[in-house]
Amino acid sequence: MCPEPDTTEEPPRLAASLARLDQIVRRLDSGDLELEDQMALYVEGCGHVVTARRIIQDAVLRIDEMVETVQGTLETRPLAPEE
Amino acid sequence: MPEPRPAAAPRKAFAVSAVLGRIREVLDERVPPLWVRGELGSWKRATSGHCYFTLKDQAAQLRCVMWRSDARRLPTAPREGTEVVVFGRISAYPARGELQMTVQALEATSAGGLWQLAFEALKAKLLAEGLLSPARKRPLPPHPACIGIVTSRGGAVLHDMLRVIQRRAPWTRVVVSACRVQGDGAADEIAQALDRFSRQPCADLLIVARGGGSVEDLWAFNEEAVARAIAASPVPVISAIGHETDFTIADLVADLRAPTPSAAAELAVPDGDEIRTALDALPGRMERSIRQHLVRAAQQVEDAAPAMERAVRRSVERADRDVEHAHERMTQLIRGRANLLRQRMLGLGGHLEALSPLAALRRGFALVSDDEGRLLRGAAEARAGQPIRLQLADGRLHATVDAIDMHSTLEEPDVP
Repeated sequence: MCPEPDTTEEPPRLAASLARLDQIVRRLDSGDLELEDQMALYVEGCGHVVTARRIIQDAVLRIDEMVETVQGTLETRPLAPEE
Repeated sequence: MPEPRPAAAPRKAFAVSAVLGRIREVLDERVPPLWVRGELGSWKRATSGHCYFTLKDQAAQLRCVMWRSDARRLPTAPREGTEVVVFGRISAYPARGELQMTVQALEATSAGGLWQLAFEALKAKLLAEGLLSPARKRPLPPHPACIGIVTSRGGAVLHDMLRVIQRRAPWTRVVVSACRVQGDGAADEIAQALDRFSRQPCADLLIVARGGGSVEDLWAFNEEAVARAIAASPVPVISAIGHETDFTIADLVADLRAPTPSAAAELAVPDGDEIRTALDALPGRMERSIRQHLVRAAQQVEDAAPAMERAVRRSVERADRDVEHAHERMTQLIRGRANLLRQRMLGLGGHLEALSPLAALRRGFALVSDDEGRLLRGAAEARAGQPIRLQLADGRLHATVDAIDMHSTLEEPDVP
């Protein structure tokens, strides 16, 4: 069973969690680690699994539109639903 | 039937403009729009955008005009000498007394037409610059956090793509850079919409998309401005223009071509269900990995035990031999040392023997002492009548001093 993950203040990103999980699995598969290090990676990996699950579960699609202002600068704003 | 001869000079003759005007009316009323085939000559585009050219064959030529509104749909200016077909109306141009065809559409008859010629020309140019090289194709990010979409704002294309992303990867952010995707100036708008993602690089991946349409409708995606904007994108670009059978220059320059806009969205984002399944399996996989290493380590220990035992036994045996050898060496050394000491003691014994006063006594000397045992070292220490003791080698004599002669000298005794 995975232990509960540490909560972080950083906004979690799925790509970062999945990339770290990929690294962890590769390192564990490599077998060149002490048992203590393997256990530490396992705990960290479980944390990322829970984080990634939560991101997927809570996800709400965010749709923005990039527009050019009259000053010639770019501005990103939510795409209006009716548009 | 003979040609009627003119009578005398008429009182009333038609004005030139009336004649030409009437001819124009007849042409406009009686001759419907038609296709004409011929070789294109003297192509000229005026600053107004109207195009003037001639169509000719071996026996005749026809002046043509194509107004700007129609000419702008041409993918490229046709080269003189190209065999073309044109569609339009024949009319008269009274000011010059000429026939003129007002052309609404123009197509090259060879090699797939004018569109194909323009397509091939730009393709050859980009190919020469290396912009179509497979080596330039970049891999798509496996888990893009943000996807930029370049397409028209309304319509089903954007809606379809958003629906796919919502279903597969709702954690993804989508940024739409809207533009017109057909018509005059559309190519520049598409290029600008792409360029916004270079100026504000928020996306990990771009999709440039348009729904199906005619060759003319899709033509903006065959223009150089769009091709160069795609090539300049800092992140990979998926193109999805028209239907699966439509191929544009944008598709050739893009990092990946998708058959449809919905397919582009599928290619752009991973499937959340698959990720969830993989996540569910991960803890078990990590546990198995650790357990396998433990089992392997235990097996290694077990495999190493006999070898370790042999090694320990060899070490103990070697130590035993070393101890035995050292014992022999020490015994030899001690024995040698004892012999040496014994020899030295024997030597010293002889020497001591030689130095001992007993030896002198045995040679005939005597030790003289008073009756209390104090040694007398000279005649002056004795007095006449004093009892003395004479110690010889084999016994002691008790005597009395009769007289003292201080002048008597020592004579060598007869040593036996």
